[in-house]
Amino acid sequence: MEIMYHMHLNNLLLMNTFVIGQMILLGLFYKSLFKIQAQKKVVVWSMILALLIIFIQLYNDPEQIYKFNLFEITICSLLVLIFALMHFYNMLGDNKTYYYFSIGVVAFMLASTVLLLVGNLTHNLSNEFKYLSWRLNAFLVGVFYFSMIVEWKVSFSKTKNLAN
Amino acid sequence: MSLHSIPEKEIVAIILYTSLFFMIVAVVLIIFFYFSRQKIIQKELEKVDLILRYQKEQLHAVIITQEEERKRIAQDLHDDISSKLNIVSLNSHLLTAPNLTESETAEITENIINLTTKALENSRKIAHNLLPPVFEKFGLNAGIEELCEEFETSKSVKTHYKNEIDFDDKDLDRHLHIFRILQELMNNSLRHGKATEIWISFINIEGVNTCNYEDNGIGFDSSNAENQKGLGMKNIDSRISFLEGTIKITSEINNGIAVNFTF
Repeated sequence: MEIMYHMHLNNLLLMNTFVIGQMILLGLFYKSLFKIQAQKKVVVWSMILALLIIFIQLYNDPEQIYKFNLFEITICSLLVLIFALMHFYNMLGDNKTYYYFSIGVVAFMLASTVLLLVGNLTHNLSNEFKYLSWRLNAFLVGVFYFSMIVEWKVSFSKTKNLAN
Repeated sequence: MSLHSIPEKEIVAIILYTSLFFMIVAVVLIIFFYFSRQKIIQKELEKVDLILRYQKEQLHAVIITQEEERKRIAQDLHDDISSKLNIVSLNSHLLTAPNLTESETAEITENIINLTTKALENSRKIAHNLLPPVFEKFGLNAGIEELCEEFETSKSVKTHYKNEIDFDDKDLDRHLHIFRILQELMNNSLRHGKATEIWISFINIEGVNTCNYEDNGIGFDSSNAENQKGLGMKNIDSRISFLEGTIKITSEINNGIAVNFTF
């Protein structure tokens, strides 16, 4: 994104793809963890529905792709949050699988979504504060990746399997 | 440079989306907690159910053992005492018959006396088997000594008994378990193991009371789990758990059996 910024391209396009891609990847990830068929169906259909709505919206208003697309961000984050909570629900009373990772997902999604939602406001702030929300978000991404490392250390370092 | 340069519509949209996001998150969280509670309660119910089932199974085992014991006592009474008393009663009726010679009366009387002595002896044995009076009066050590003697005299087994522990008479309830375990083991050695020699010793190893039991019978394959599921074995196991001890059974075919248990 930094590179695109320096190339004076609109990197929000990338940001939007990142949000959607993140939802799809995490959705598929949680779908693979779920054992109940109904839950898998919920994941697949809610993702298809969300993508459909987002595409319809973009079709009607193509400009949105170069801005912070509020609707898209809200939908995607909510879905990932719901998937993570479903996973937490499944974990109750069972062995913890991807526990730290899911904690990371929930924390990251809650904070990052708000930062992205107010993204359109930060356009117009002075240079001093303009990047504050971005840096905060970058920090949150760092925390998120850290949770992945912890997860990998706890669950996989002994068995030497590949992390997600 | 200021917020005023953004169209109001945009700000409103941002506020709306943010609050909407949080509202939905709140609702989702509430639903999540609601279902979590239900799931946890269900898990707990399952646990209670499991405990109940386990208790039921134990009760079942108790009832079965009780029935078996009753059957055994009934058989003992029927075979050893009732039959003899029957003959006694027959003989007594014979006595009432007219025209009996002196020698006939003497013979019948002798019969009756013999039979009653035997019946008495048998009833004493049965009562003894149920709970040896020596054990109750003089404690575990004497009880086992008597048990060994009994086995030696009546069943042609050589026993070696050694005791290094001073048993406290207050623990008689616990000692009864030990006594029963040894009784069961000795019976098994004789019945299944065809043993001719039995070694029993009580040792105190670093504050832990231990009993070593060995015989020279035919033994069994102790690695085969099938051999440890009989009612007798289950009985020993539950007695050991009453004593909060541990038990180790090692045996090889044709090499006797060795049992170590702590209490």
